[in-house]
Amino acid sequence: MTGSRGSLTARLIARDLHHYRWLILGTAIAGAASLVLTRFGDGDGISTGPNVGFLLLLTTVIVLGVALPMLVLKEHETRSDLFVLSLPVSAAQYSFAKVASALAAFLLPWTALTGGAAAVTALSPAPDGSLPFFVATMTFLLVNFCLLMALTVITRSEPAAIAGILVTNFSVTVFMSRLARLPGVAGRSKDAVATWSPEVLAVLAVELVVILLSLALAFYVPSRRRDAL
Amino acid sequence: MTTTATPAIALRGVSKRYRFFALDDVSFRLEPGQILGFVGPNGAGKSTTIRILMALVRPDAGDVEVLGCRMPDEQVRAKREVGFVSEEMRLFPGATIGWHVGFVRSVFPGAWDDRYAARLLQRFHLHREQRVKGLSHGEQVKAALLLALARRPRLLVLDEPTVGLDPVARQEVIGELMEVVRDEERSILFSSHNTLDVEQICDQIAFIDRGRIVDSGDKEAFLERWRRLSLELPATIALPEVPGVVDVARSARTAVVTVNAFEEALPAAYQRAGAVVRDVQRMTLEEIFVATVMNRRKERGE
Repeated sequence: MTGSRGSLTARLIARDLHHYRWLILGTAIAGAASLVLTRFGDGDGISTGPNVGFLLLLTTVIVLGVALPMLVLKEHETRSDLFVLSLPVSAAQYSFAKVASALAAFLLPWTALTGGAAAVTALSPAPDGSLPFFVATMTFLLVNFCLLMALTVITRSEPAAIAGILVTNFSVTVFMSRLARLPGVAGRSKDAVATWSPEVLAVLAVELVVILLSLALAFYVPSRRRDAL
Repeated sequence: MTTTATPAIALRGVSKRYRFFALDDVSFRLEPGQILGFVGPNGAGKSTTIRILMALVRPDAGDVEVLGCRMPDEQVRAKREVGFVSEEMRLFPGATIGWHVGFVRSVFPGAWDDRYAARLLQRFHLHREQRVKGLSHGEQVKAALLLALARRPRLLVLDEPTVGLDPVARQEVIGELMEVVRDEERSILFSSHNTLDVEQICDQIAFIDRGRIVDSGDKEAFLERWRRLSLELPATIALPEVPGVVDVARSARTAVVTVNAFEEALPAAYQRAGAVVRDVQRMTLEEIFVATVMNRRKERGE
């Protein structure tokens, strides 16, 4: 890739990130507010504050993970992609830019929220026992985003994307209920120290593999497409 | 006109097959400085051909060169010199025209002409602050045309840019293209099913129908060789066999003969056969286009 080609791809990524800026900022603010909420109201015996805060955080990240692929799809459906493809950029470079910018737009708030929450939990005197559950769940949301992104850029189909949204959203509940039963997670939320059991590490490893596979497909398949439109 | 210079466009034996449509062995050249009207009915294959040219679609067979670059392999190099506007192209809805101008100018820093862009904004009654989502279809097309023209490309590829425009907007677009074609180095491929637009700005014509090029050549030559003759003759007289006759519409005492290889001697041939030649009419490009398409379909038994 020459410098000039690279610079246009980078410019397309920058353009997309600028386009997503309010979504990124909104997610970061709503996510941070949700995390703050988790610190309140733990004295009522039913953990209303932490539960509501965690639920709000999940919802915020899920919304971001759905909105980004749908915005990519919308650009194709409205034929704004035709304008970009009239510029000196190949369809492969264009699709690379779309996936890379959406991934960056997701990872920016996701990393800040997951890393921030984990760091604050680990560094505060509060119990760390819920950390494996939290990290595995947040990573599962990243998995869902990557799967949905791959599905959207490969199929470029709104019905397929909607089906993907339904399945991935439903899977969050199933995943969390299964995860809560794993050794190292079950009954450990009030533990002072987080237990990274082999089962939890296996879950994280599987999540990582699915993320890498999804991203590989999202980057590779559109770049090999014979017809860009 | 030279044919030795690197052609702006060269298509050789290009084919592309879809489930219900096939582009079949399409070949044509566009020389530097020429303006080619690519005319065909809806669904004829104009947009597919242009998508192949712009490397948006990969052909199943054939070779495509744009400004000496093999497509799609050298598309990035070729697209630096190509301005492409399509009727279905949309700009980013949330961004302003000014943002688009800045974006495209940053992609073509050496070629972008600020003064020309400002003049086009004024001519097309567009404003930098306007958001694309608030623009009418005509304004969107004009904005896209501005972005393509102000980078001063060597080749303009225009896919039905006047479709859906009101008569005034259409004339604004055509008027600007008339200015552009004064630049003798610049080539234009102008696809349309509107022959009036094509007749105004093009010097070369290619007709496409059902995925095949059915005729092509110099526009003036087209207009010169096509005629419609109105004859009066008794029902008992048979018309003589004359080369180039593509259609004869005959009633009891009259006949209308359409020819695509008119010569001055032709009326005399009919007169010798006993017919009275009432009128010899030049045909419009639209009439020629329709006659060509219908004749080819008849020849193929379609």
